[in-house]
Amino acid sequence: MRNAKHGTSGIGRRDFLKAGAAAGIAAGLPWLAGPARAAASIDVVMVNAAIGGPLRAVLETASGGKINDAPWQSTTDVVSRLTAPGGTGRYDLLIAGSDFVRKPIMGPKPGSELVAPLDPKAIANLSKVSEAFKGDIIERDGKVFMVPVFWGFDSVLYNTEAVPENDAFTQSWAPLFEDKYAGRIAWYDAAHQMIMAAGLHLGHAKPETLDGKDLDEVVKFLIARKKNIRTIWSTFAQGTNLLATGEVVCLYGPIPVRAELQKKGFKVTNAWPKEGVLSFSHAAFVPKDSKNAAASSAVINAMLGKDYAGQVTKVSGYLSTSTEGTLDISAEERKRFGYGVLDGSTKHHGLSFPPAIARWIEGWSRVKSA
Amino acid sequence: MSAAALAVPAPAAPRRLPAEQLRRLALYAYAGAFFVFLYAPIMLLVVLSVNDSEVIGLPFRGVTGRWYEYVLTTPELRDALLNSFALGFASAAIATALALMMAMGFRRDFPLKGLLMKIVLLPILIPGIVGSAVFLVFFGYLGVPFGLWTTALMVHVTWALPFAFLTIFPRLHGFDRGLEEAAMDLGAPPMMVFRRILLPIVRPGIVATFLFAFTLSFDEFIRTFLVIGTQRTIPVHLWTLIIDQMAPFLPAVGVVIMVVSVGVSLAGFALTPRERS
Repeated sequence: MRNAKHGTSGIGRRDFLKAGAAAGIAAGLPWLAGPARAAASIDVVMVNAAIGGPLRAVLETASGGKINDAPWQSTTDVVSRLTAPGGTGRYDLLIAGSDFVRKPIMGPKPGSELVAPLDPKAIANLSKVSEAFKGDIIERDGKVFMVPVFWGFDSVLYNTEAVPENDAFTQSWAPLFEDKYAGRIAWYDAAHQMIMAAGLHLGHAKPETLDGKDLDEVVKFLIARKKNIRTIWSTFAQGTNLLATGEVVCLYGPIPVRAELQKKGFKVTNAWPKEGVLSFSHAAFVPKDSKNAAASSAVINAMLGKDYAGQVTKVSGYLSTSTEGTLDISAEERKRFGYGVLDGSTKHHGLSFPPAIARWIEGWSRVKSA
Repeated sequence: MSAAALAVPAPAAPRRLPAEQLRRLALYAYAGAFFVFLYAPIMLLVVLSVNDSEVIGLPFRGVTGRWYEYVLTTPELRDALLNSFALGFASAAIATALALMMAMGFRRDFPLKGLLMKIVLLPILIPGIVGSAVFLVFFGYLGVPFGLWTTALMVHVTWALPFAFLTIFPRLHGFDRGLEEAAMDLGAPPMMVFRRILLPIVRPGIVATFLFAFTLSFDEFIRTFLVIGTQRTIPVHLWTLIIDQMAPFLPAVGVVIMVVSVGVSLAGFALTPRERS
């Protein structure tokens, strides 16, 4: 009656401890054994599309390592992963939006970087970075920390069967905001991108500097034009399906959406807005506690090499920052892919990071809840 | 006043019938609409999963099995599915075992019992995205390597445990402890009482708890995303696909996941009556 006297359930303390220890060992065994990791594996976080199809094999062959890519969410997510405790040793190579990551990962002064300096000798193709992206190579005290490896742009994507191509209205940001396609428009659920596009449409030369009253006016404009939209999309699958099914005829879209739809034969293309497409680059950097810095540098080098640069656009829609990217494509393809941005024949505006981003996010929340 | 004038006409019983019929009709219509809204999207998912179209949507362009073939033959999707199965079974087993032990402990009174119970249930109240960030920081400080069997397993057990506890505790709480005491009076040692008395009686509850915990783990995404490293469960893999692809095979994946969930529930139904009989 020992247990009954003490009001226990019938299991002795010793039995309980035995069971608990067994469960603890069972749960902890794999951890003690360590993760199954091959010696040459490279843990990467980058846009999934930029490593799809044959691109993975190109990078693995060139670097001699096996690439394990973590699920991608956004540039913000990459910064969160890197700045979290222990984050500088979790991954070997990170690739994210150049303009956004620069400040948080470089820190305020020398020595406060969360990333390791890259060995220029290991990245021989660094010299092949196009003139237009040399400014996105981030250096400090003569050391290189970040290298732009691919770029892209956002524009108005539209159904060519419903929207005339050779039309001044189409070749602007207006289709997203004016009444002409009311009810058949989709916006992108991103404060930065949508306020930039609306700012350009309203004639702001540098919309990234919007703040205070000007920002408020853009937000009010978006709220007033919200009546015209069918929906606000958030994943590529959603955006592509909206256009492909004909539920909308135009939407704010990153260029991989256009590429995906065109590959599948849909009558979709992008506008070349007179105000400029919104361009951005993605830069590669190696966290300072990476265990595979050499292999990561080899991947960066391969991304600027001919095999990767020559294929990345056809596979993903993203464009190469390397001069190798345009060597084997026709003049028509250069124009269609968007390489006109590099020679000035296509107007663009950098998707620069706004200093007042918190106000932008708050403003966009007001638009969505209006 | 004449008798004829005083005669009250018989209550118009037949008049009530249309009202009753109308009420019943409205009820049927409501119930029908309820089931249509509840199950039509699921049926639509099944229809879209065999639609021979590159987009997720209508019109229906013919029957195809290629999306199922794609799901079952694509190594990344297959591996993610197997990871979800394995993680679901492991986390459900651990959560159920822990919940059972906790439920047994909570049958007795001890100081701060109420507070402890609230702490046990806390993971339910923490929003998923907050939990995800907390785990990211927590595992960072501890230096636990990301992976399916390290961080993801711990996250899934933490997520499923309160639900498992809530499922199994009522079963143990209503259990007649006189049976245990009688067995002990007859000389049964504690482990024998557990195996021969308690376990057979609460086994249906344990099965239900395990299945519930498995389903919670199988569907979990937000808490797993930041801490799984380079491995993927099926919800995590699906997310990576939909953020940069058209993914026309998504309905087929949805149906496969649904079949797994329904299969697990049916297994639970099948096991539980046998124990009762």
